[in-house]
Amino acid sequence: MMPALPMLPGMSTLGAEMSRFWSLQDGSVRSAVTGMVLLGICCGLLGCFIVLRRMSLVGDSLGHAVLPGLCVGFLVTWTKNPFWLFTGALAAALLAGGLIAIIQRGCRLKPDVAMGLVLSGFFGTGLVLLSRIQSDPRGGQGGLNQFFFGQAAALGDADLLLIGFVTIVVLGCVVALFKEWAVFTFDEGFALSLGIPVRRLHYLLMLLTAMSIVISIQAVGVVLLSALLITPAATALLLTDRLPKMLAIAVGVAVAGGLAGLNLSALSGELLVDGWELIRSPLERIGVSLPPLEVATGLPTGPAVVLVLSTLFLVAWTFSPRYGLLQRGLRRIRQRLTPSVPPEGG
Amino acid sequence: MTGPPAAVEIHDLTVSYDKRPVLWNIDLELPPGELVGVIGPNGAGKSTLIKAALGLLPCDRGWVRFFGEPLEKQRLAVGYVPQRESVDWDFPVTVRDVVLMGTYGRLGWWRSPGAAERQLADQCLVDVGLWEFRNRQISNLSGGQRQRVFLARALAQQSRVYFMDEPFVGVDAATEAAIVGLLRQLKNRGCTVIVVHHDLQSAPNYFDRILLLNMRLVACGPTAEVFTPELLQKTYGGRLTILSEAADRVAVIRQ
Repeated sequence: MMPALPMLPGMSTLGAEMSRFWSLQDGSVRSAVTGMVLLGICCGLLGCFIVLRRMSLVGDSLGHAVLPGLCVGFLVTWTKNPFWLFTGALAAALLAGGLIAIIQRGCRLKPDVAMGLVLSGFFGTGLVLLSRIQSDPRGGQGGLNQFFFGQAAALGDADLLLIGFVTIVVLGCVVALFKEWAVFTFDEGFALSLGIPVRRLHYLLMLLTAMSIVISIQAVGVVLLSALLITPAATALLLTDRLPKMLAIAVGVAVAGGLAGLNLSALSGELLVDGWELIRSPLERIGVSLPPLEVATGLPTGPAVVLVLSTLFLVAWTFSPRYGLLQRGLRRIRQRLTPSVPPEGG
Repeated sequence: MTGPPAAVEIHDLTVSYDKRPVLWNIDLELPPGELVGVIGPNGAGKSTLIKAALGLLPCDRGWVRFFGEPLEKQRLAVGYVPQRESVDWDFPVTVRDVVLMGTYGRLGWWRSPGAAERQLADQCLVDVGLWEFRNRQISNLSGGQRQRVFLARALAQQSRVYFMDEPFVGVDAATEAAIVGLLRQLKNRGCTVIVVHHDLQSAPNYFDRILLLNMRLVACGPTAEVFTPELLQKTYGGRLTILSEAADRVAVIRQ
């Protein structure tokens, strides 16, 4: 007989907190939800092309590389002025992208090395600038710390406007040039032979990626930014064999994961402590002891979103009807059970 | 020049990778309606030649014309079958999606393929014998079937000149026969097909014209004139015995 789980005091408040969140009565929750939906559309779409073009590391590199740009943008006014932050971050991302291209073309270093170099160099510079800013009394209260892991609740109207603008541009580009993107991503040489300006499309993709990275910073933070681009697309690729469906699934996963993560990060600290207790106490009964959670603060948005997205990916990776672990395992067992048949010709 | 313009005219073409020339001063003319085999040892610049002709690689010097005009004006007249390894076969597309890509050139910007394009793509699928595989994701195909997907896509381009990069490599006998049949069909329609080819044994049976290449153009002309032991040796260098055997066999076939 399993002992009944104890009803923890926090459990009753979970429902209350969730319904308060989803009622969208709180203005900051409304902005955060709007921002997350838009970011999900934007990053879900672009992520597919980035993953299919094997540029996932570029997303990560640019994500980290924006930090010094943010700091310089902050230093212009010593406030979090969205315009300067956006300009600084975009400039840094484009500079990083350009450097990656130049390093790998100019000498014998391969793309992964170029990306590693640029990522660490830019991120290090950003950390140095950040520590200088935070040791200054004017910068200490600037709230730049949020840029590490994101705080979607702090999205302002100007941020939302920017996110909306970039999302519309990305959506427009993907829809209007869908067949060009498809052939360019699948077979670059053939695309060139059709007269499609492959190089320009590549730079456009880099520019759109840089822009969507920059608008995601406030919501999910620089460290985990690339997950919003890559994880939904990777999940979608395991679930379908058609590009349009892949785009739709990636957007769905990104939006769902974004919203669920947002909800998770909006839960109060006490609730998280209680939730941890819910996992900890049954484990303790079977002899596994984990330390209790003591810090009663909410989660930043970035890690919460990544947690949900990664879980969704794990589910797809395990249960995908065609490419899932489970299915592959079953197929292997079935093959071993049936006598071997000579393969079909052709 | 008199008469109709050549299907392909290459003049003084020089191409290099990292400032190291791989093709030197290539000069040639190919008449319309012929099957042309590009033959030469590994590293001779066979793929480079067709990539440069297609504008996929920058040329250091020289120019290429199709029917007397530069590539930009004749893009729709030029079709391309890349090497199979050049793409990721796990890409989320079906066989039919790939063949449909052949119609994109004629569609131009903004427009998406409609009923007419789909019908054309389906016809091309039938022509290469892949109709029953049309809804398969492309990784679930054998090497020969993959090659035929690329051929169907090229057919859907409805071009007058085709460049094919090693279509016969690693395919089964059925596909080889299908490709040869398709080449003849294209020739009968008046198309010029330039094929990078590895197998010296089959080359004289397949092609009307042979282009011997080893960084420089060794020879280009009707198969009977060009496929000789002397010229083959000039192209391949030392390994004479295999070559002369191949050429002898050709001589026998021709008698």
